[in-house]
Amino acid sequence: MNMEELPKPELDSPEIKDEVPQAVQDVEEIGLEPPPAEEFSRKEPKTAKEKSEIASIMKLLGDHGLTFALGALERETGINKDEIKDLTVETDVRQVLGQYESKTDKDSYKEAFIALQRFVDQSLDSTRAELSQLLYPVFAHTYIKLLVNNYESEARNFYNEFAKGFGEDSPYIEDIRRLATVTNKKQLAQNDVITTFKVRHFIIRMTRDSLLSLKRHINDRNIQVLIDILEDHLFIDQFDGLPRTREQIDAVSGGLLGEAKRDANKSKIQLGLLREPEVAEIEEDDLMEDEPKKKKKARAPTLRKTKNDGNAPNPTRVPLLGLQEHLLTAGDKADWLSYYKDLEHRVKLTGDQKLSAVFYSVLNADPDCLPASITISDDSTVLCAGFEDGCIRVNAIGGDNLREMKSLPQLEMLDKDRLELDNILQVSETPTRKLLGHTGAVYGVSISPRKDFLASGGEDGTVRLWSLFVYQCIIVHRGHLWPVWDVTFSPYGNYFCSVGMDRSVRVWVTDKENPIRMMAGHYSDVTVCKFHPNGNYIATGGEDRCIRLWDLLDGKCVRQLTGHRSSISVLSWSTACGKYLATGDIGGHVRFWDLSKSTKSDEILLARFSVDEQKGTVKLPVQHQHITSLTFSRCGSLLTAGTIKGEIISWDVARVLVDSENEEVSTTATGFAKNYRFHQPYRTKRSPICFLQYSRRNVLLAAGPFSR
Amino acid sequence: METEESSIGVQTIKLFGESVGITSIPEDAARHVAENLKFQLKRIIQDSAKFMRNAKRARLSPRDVDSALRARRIEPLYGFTSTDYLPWRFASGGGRELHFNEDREIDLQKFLENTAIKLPPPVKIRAHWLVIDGVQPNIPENPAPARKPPHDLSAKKLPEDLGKEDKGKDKKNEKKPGDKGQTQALEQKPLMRHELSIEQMKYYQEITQAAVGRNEEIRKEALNSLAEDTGIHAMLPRFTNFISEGIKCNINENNLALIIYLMRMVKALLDNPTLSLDMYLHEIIPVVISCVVSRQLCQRIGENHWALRQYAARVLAQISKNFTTTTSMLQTRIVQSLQKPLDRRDAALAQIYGSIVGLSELGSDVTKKIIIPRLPKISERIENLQNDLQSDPIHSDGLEHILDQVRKRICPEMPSMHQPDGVLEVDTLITEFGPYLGEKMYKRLLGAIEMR
Repeated sequence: MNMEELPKPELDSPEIKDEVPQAVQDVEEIGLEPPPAEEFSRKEPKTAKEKSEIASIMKLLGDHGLTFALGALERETGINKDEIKDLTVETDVRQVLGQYESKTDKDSYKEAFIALQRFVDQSLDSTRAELSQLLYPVFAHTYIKLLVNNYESEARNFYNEFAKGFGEDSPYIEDIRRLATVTNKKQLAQNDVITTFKVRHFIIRMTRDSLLSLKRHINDRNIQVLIDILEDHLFIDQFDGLPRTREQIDAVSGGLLGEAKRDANKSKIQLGLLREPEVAEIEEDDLMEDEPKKKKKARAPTLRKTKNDGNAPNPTRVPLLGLQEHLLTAGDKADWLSYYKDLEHRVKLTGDQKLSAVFYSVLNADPDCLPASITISDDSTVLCAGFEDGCIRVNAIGGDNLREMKSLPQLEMLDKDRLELDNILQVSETPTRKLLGHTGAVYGVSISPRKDFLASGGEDGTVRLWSLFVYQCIIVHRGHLWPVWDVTFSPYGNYFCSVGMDRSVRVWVTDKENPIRMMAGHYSDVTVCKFHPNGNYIATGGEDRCIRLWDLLDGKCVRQLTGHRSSISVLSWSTACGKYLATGDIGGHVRFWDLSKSTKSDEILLARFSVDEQKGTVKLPVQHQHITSLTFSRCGSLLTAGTIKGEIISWDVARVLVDSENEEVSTTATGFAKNYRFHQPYRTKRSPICFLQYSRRNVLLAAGPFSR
Repeated sequence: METEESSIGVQTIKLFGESVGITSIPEDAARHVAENLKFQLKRIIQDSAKFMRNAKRARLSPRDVDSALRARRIEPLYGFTSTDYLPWRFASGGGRELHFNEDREIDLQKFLENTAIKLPPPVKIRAHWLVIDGVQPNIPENPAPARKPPHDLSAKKLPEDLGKEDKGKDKKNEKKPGDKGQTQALEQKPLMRHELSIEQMKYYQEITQAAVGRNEEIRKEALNSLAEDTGIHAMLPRFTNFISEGIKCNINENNLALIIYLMRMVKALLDNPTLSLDMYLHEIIPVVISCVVSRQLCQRIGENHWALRQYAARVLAQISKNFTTTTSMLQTRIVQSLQKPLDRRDAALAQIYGSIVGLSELGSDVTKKIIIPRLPKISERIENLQNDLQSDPIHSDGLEHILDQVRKRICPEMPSMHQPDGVLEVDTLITEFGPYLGEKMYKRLLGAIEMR
């Protein structure tokens, strides 16, 4: 009889064996025969340690007179009863089993936390702020440990006793609340956030001195629980120098896993803008130069970027088709020309100049199926809205109708040599088109700069590329495992990027099916992505409350910015210089970063704004402060945010920049910049501001559904 | 860690079990299921919120829950597509309390006959100027200009007014503010237009019909228009007249539903930031007060006039807050009208209820100064009524409501509730509330503590 078919020998007590039905007993009798030799070799414990563990168990069985089980164990492991007599059983059986239980008793957790609290309270004033960073991660891990060891009621008491101590304005209040939803061991594994928390290190930065004093303290007192948590779950990034103040720490704390490591922001990045192509006159001979992009035209001072920024990457670092002049069609050249013309008419939004804004309302949308994403093309002629039922509507908003490809008979009549893009297009009869394909809500739409493609991503996990010439889906990019939260095109076309619930960032090209880059690093859903104006970098933000900057060339994460206290919902680059990034979160806070200046994360932050500023004591409910759109004015002097409740707020960032040069950005007690509002908030009637963008002449364009 | 509301009770699980035919669920099993259910629900809700946020909405919809379930590879629950709030009803009986969703029966015959299905209008995109050179143009697409500053002023001045209110009461000096109000009205009268255009007349007709009509959807639209639209100032005198006459009439007829509709109109007009009811308060306030303290508002016993009284009380408090100035002494006058039933010996329970609700809405100072000193008297009055009509269902019902309100609104203001030791003494309660009310309240509060 084949051994494989035998049931495993019962390890239970002999009494139970009596109840085993006859057939099984027969089998067991056969089982008593010595199994084939190879079976032994497979199951034999290899190391002396394993052997001694099993030996101690066998000893236990022998001591209690459980001979049947002992026999079974002997058979299975191949260790003879007599053999173990030679082995000195140094390890007690309790100790062997003990590694699966908690080594510490349940009260020691609480004592350890209290000891840590006391240590922080009694530390020197200069280091107290630094050391208090430890409280939250130790609290969270203690709670998790209590649950892992099945001390449910102790865990609850521990939470109730200490959670309040962190206060409502703790940077980690969201996660503290989230911890409370988990109340037993089984649930731990099912909570994504806590799973991340358990397996990753929480990063804390502190000076060497503070760390030394901490280590001395816990080693002196031998607080094993704290030592374990420090070693297993925390990463302490030590540095020399003065300890940071509470304000400095406050400004960077809030990330799911603490702040970025010091070396995360070390690599050099080139944020300069690229020279824009010269197309004013068609000068054929210029195209003969070996570097076609680098043409120069001396003219009166203009806003045009006539040469590469000093800090700009090499234009060929990442191939950017949209910038290669020999590839420009007549239509592209006309686009650039109109762009340059608009530049000359651009309003400078500083000082007394007042803002003007147009609002595009999506009317008659079913309240159950509102647009989830809206975008307007860079030249403000096409508006695309992705709806919650999966349909995408493309609308011409400039007054003209949409462009479309000529019909087949018309195309056949064309001269074969003149099949350029501009010849095969015509103005269609309709100002609106509907694109069907997605099977779930469309959370991201983006129009390519040439207005030839539309990329969209949605709940069904697909990214679709549509042609805006034939109004059909060209390709379905599958790859994201869960819903796609945002899609965005590169400013020079060809590339587009998608992010989603599966925590990945994927970069696609219009002519390939598979992603050309895939970046992982966020610890939770990635909710938003934006290409840098020079097309070489991508900024993403997610529910881990962390912003990352990725290099498109090698897919590496080159910057990691923390400080937001709730999920990031929007990002915007300053297109005027490429140095500044603004990010907004669902809690109504906006951060304004200067990525060019420094590599120290706390110096990158220029200012924090809050939509709630100047409202006095009347606080908006948090869910009404959700920032749904954010944009810099084309001249870079204004930062405008739109909220879910339909408020538009602008801050005069030009003034912030001047003040930060002199190091006197005026802030409120809570660290938010104050008195930089450019105007009082403008409100819509009942529309959330789903999209904001300044037109090329600096008129604010806003869009949203009119909802009942 | 969690509040009472965020947990799922063992009873609920047992009830769910009963509904699918499992009658005997052991306590432990039910607790286990309840705990797991709570965790799973929270997980789904947290996930749903993600979908809501990414769709840039402020309100969670059934679609989000479906999406969250789908993302977890769970079959979504089909058929829940309501875009509106679900009206939860409350019922109690047999020692159990239930919240349930009323599922109305649909008359299939009618439904099938109604063949004229209107296609929804096509989605359109329309542009309008939100801001021109820093100013929001006053067009229908834009919201009404910023709220009136008087709201804030009156709110700030409130404590001061309360101080003066006592003086006013002592001196019984009411005429002066009234005179001033009249002169103000006279000054502004020439600004008013007396003739309405055809469109305005039509609007007036549509709105008034919709507001008291049968269709709740249309009524909501009408009330919304009253609460938000600009430029209906000219029709305001007609509206206030319509409301005051309507309420007077329907109080006479005891037509509760219509009174509620009219009251909602008052609230809508009050909410409209572009309207000022200043000149029409003389019409509005008396009828609102009537709705609070009237002896009878409905014909049948079961109708919920208690809710109307509460609603009207809130409207009244809003009026008082918005329009009380140092000169008008509005709050003083409202307080005086409301406290009358408390002093009268023949007041009905409903009236006592109304005045307790109405006064306590006006703020804790009013509660402390007006209601609390009168509690022993109220207790006596209720006891008398109770002895006369022990078996009458109206009265036992009324007593319940009064006790509820006293517990909710007055107890937090009582000095004895703020004792540091927190021990309830029946004797202190009796001295504060009077013997009858004191004993009842003692039982109630004890019950509440045990529940906790």
